[in-house]
Amino acid sequence: MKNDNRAIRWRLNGMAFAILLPLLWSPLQLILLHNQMGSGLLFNLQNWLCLLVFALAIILYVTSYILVLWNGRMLLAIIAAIIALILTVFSLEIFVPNLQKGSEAKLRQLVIQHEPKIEVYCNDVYLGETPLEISETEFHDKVKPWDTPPRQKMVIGEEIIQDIKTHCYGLSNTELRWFYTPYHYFDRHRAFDEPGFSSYYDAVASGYWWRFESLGCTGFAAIGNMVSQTYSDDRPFRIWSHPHLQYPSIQPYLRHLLHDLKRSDYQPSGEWRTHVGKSSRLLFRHVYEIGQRDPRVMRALEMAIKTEFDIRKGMSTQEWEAVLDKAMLQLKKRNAFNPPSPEIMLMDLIVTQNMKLIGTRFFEYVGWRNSADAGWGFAKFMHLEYAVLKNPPPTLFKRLVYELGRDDRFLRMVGNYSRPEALQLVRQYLNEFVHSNPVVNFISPSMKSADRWKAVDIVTEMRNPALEPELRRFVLKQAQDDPDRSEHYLRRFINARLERTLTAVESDSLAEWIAETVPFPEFDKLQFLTRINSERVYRYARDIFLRHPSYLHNVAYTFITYPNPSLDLFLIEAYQAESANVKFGGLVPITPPQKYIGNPRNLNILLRGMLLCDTPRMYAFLEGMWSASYGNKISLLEAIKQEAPNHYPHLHRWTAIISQIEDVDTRLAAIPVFDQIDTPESLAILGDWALSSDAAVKREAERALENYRERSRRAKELLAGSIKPDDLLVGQTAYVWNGKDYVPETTTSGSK
Amino acid sequence: MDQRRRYISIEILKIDVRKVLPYYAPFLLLTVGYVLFRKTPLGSEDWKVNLIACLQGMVVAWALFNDAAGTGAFIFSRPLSRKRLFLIRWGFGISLQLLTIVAVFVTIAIGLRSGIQMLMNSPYQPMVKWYELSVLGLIALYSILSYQIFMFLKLRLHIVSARPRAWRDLVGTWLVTWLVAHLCLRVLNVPIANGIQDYLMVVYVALVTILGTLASLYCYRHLEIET
Repeated sequence: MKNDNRAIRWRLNGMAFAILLPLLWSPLQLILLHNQMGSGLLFNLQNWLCLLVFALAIILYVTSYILVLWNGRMLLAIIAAIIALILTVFSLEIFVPNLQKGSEAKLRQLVIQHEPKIEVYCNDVYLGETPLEISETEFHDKVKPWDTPPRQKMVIGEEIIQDIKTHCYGLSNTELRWFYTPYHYFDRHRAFDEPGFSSYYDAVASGYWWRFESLGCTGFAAIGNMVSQTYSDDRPFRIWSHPHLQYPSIQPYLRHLLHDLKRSDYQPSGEWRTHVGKSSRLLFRHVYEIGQRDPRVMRALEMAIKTEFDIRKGMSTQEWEAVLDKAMLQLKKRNAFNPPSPEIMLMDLIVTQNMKLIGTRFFEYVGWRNSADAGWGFAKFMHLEYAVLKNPPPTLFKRLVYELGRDDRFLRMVGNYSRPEALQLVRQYLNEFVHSNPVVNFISPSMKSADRWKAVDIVTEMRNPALEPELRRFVLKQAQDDPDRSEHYLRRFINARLERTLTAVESDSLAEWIAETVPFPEFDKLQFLTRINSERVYRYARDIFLRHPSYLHNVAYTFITYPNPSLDLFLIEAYQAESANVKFGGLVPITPPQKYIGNPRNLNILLRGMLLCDTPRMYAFLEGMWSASYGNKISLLEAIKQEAPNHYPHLHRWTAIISQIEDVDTRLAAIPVFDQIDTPESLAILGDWALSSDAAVKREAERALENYRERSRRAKELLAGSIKPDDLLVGQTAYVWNGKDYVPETTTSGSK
Repeated sequence: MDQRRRYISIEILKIDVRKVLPYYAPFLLLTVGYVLFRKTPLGSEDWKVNLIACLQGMVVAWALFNDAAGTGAFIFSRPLSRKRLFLIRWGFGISLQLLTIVAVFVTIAIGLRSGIQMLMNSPYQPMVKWYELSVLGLIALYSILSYQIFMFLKLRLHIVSARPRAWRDLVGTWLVTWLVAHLCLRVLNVPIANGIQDYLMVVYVALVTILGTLASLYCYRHLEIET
């Protein structure tokens, strides 16, 4: 029976609307979501289409309810609700990304992204620190083009150029010698190979000269790398730049810092710790690399990081939490997970000192469904993940298993526990994956392929020795089933293991697996095997070299990059064969086309690899070599000089042997070696030789001593902040533009 | 007089139990069965269990407030106020929703689920036992929300519609309830800063419960009873 009382009806409808209240939440929520993503929806509301569609959906929803509530217009209500549902899905899934991009702006924007806090200058006008965002109008208001290219200094030091070359394959090295890089972002943003834009000299005509500086180090940029990417559908049009900077002053900077460290017998002063801690974003990777070879340097670096994060002995839980919060804040700004880094070292410290904190913070930060920040790929989460992966907290196990039920990616963390339940979970996962439904696989091969990629990714990161044989079998099976990615899967899996610290048993097992099971060509196997410190590697490597002597030439440099004590005997045999001009493993004479064997460069590389093998057998052999002939002494001195800057502590024992040299020529060859070794002991010997009766030895030793004193003085100035790292660059010749090219200042006049 | 009222209330409750139980029991069994035999860990994002909860809320509201012509006249002619009648039925409906929650809680907490899953060789048990209780939250929200909305819409339909039992009205009410309950919770469940969406959902369900109850009571007072 119909009730005609309008008052009651209105009242009822009012109540119905009250219940529909949360629907109003949807647009508000979009705004909130968007604001969290950074650029602010309120400024980009011009994307009316999206908002209109969403508003229409809301209206339709409300209409459908009105129709139902008002007079039972059901068919219309159902149609309206379905349309509204479709519109909502469309607006959420399709239009929201457009919404986030904002409106079609008339102005273009330049966005320079890099490590944070790099100072950006254009035509010597300070534009700000990275990440820098500047509109075209603002840029032209601030910066006026230069009519004449600026006077520049060229960094000539061969060592520096060599360092840049090795890190910048395929770049024009000439560009990387200058402090200023010419580029017009708003003119040349599309592509480097665009018509009318072909070279450095073309860029010079733009009149805009860029300079990037970080902590007193100028970063050299190549024109080819000034623009990283632009997206045609970016609104407003953004020119994204990520100049790959190379810092030529890093090497001298490091040398001076380490010089100071050596002088204090690796007990870093407070000044040193503070300085390195503050400069860690620039220096960390380099110092860490040296620290891996020299534990004393690593210890000093740790002290610097502790100083930077204010870590002391006997800290309370609250203080540790404050430290972690500070690191998380830094990571949020940096948003990069790129080990090794100060934050990774901090995580390692926290893992050893306060593991419980990582356990409690892991889910708090990851937040799961409780935060819009939640998700994988965010740097701060990845660092916490790293800590959990490296040292799984016992308190976290049950929660991780629970989360594994929703997301496979937790398996890599669960799989690192040695508990039987964890092993069972991993085994079940592997088993289910291998025996997945063949019909589904047939229907959707791409999905299977994506799943396989993810599965191999998960398995690769597991560090559970108890599961290793099964993981290997699994990866091999996946590699067989997916020939296109087979090599990638296996390489990733092996590299992940080579990067870890393996026990002797693990090393033996890995070497055996690579040599006997992995379906790689022998050359590829050799490249992996030479990096494994295992007794078995000698036999495998020797067998391969016997079959393919020419491989020695190709992998020789690996012995320097990855010194391997287990290959000492092999290196000795290889060196003997090389120096005797015979093929490795036999007395077959070398024929002319194989002249690469036995050439001085190869011998030098082998000798350097041998020097880095710190075993009694190798030391005895090299000592024998040293005393055998003058030529050997010179070769060894050259090799030590080349490797001394890399801070292998065991090389310092050569100081005593070299100090016994009596003849002038050898002493003259040894003085640069002491200069490179740069220890108080080498300084003492140089002091003795400076009193030598031979004038040449006296002069060179005094010069080396003077260099030593100069380094000490400059290191102090550097730590005190009275000079910048760029001031350490030697041989900076001023160059000026002569209308066609940069030429040394002495040959022309008219500099800017 | 009070004793007589109490007696009548219990009798009405008995009528309601007999009326609702055939509809409610299958859903209870379905929910508990699902909880017992689901292989992977239970979680709040499990749409199947949420759907069952949503349907359960609607079915209970429909069965509870859907009197046959004779029954309606009999109940409303008892010496009880409309408000008291409504509260008896509403309370009973809410109790049934809570009963489901308790049943699921007991199934998980006493280790029944863990035991069965371990017999089925599930590698997750018993580690995840206590974390699985998170499933209770959304079951409660979905069932109570759908119960409240359906109850209101059904009672409202009795007042505003000429033929409240026509199939299209009924289907429409079901559909609208599902849309409101499901979409609202889905929309509210989108993660935002500091996890406030969890509180938003609870606040929203509390709001709907209060508003829906008041609105339903209003409708109940204005119902015209067919004789």
